[in-house]
Amino acid sequence: MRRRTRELLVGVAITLVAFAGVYWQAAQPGKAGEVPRLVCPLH
Amino acid sequence: MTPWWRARNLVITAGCLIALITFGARTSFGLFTEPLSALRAWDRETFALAIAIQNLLWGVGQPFAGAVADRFGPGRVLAAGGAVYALGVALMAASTNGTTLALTGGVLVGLGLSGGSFTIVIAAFARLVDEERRSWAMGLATAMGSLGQFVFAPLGQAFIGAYGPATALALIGGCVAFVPLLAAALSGGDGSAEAARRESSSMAVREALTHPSYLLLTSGFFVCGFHIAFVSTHLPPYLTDLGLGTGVAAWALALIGLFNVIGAYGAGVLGGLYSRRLLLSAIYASRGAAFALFVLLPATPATVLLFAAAIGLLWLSTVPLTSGLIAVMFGTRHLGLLFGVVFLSHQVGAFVGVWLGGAVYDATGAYDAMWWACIGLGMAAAIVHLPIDERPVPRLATA
Repeated sequence: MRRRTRELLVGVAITLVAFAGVYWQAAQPGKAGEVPRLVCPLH
Repeated sequence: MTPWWRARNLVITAGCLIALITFGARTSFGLFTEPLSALRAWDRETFALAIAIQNLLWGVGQPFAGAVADRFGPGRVLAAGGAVYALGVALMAASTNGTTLALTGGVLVGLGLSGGSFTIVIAAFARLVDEERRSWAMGLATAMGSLGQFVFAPLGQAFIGAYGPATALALIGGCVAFVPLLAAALSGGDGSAEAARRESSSMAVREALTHPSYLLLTSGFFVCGFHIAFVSTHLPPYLTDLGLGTGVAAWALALIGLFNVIGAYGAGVLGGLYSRRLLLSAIYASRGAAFALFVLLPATPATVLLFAAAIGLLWLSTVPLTSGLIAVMFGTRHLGLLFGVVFLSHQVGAFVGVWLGGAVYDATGAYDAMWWACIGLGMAAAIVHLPIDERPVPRLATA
């Protein structure tokens, strides 16, 4: 597999996991307000 | 022959998992604030103080951890940092008063983060991953750290629901305990001529601090911290003041998290293809433009979410580019230390952004001045990156 194709596939995979995470957050009843605490790993 | 545990893909996978676990576990702490405080009868300030101490020690400890990693190898520092981090989280679960919480969740976790977080992973990648894939690997590690929040939030919530907050926190500590194991793959360094030379840490810092490009890069990363911390902390109350409600704020910040993963990874890929200084300049200019449009356009849920997506793309995309530039300019021998110093500047910027946001709001009753400061700083950072010299310092060029 070409390097660029591999890089693209990895990018798509991690984006899908992140999207699933956002979807999970949105699906939590009454938990939406906790999202702000989870936004930045540096702070 | 390279042993199987030093294979390139395994090194990258282990480093990314370390970034995911260390960042993810830390971001899950927010889930424990309420249930653990209720269980131990703590007020909100008790937990907040421990996290504040943690942030401070993480930032201050980073250059020292980087220097130790440069001297003794990133794998050892990651292993030690991960062990201290895991111990801190486990003991946090057993803490029954504010003092022990400050010592465990504050001091131990803060010091553990200094040794076990992404800056050391990036230093390890610089030594162990070939130059062609280095920028991509740095972007991937940054993106995986951001992804950690989406993995550990459901995990932490599930643990709390099943076992209660104290046991759940101990289980999170158990996850962190895998870091020393993963760090084995990142042990050792390269055998290059650069690694064989023995410039001292103080010589490396002196060389960097007298190099105009390093100072420009450090000032740019200060702006990055300022922007990120200000938006993280003050965007929700700003939107509430505008009457948009906490739901829009929560979605905005969730979108920032999502697009941050894409932006950090994309920046790593682009950093391997194009000039890093120009990419950084474009990122900071785009931030300035995004802030300007956000302030000038009418605030509606649609404009807020568009702003969140744009600023998310530009969020940690600076990390693989900034660290990559330092590796190119000064080599990999002291990358842990030199990136640690730049990271400290980021944390100082973050402190100023959060604090000044509150001070300006208290003084004027609005955030307007802060938004304009964000625009101005973004444009200033875009300009200061333009004259950065991306070439290796003469010491490396003649080696």
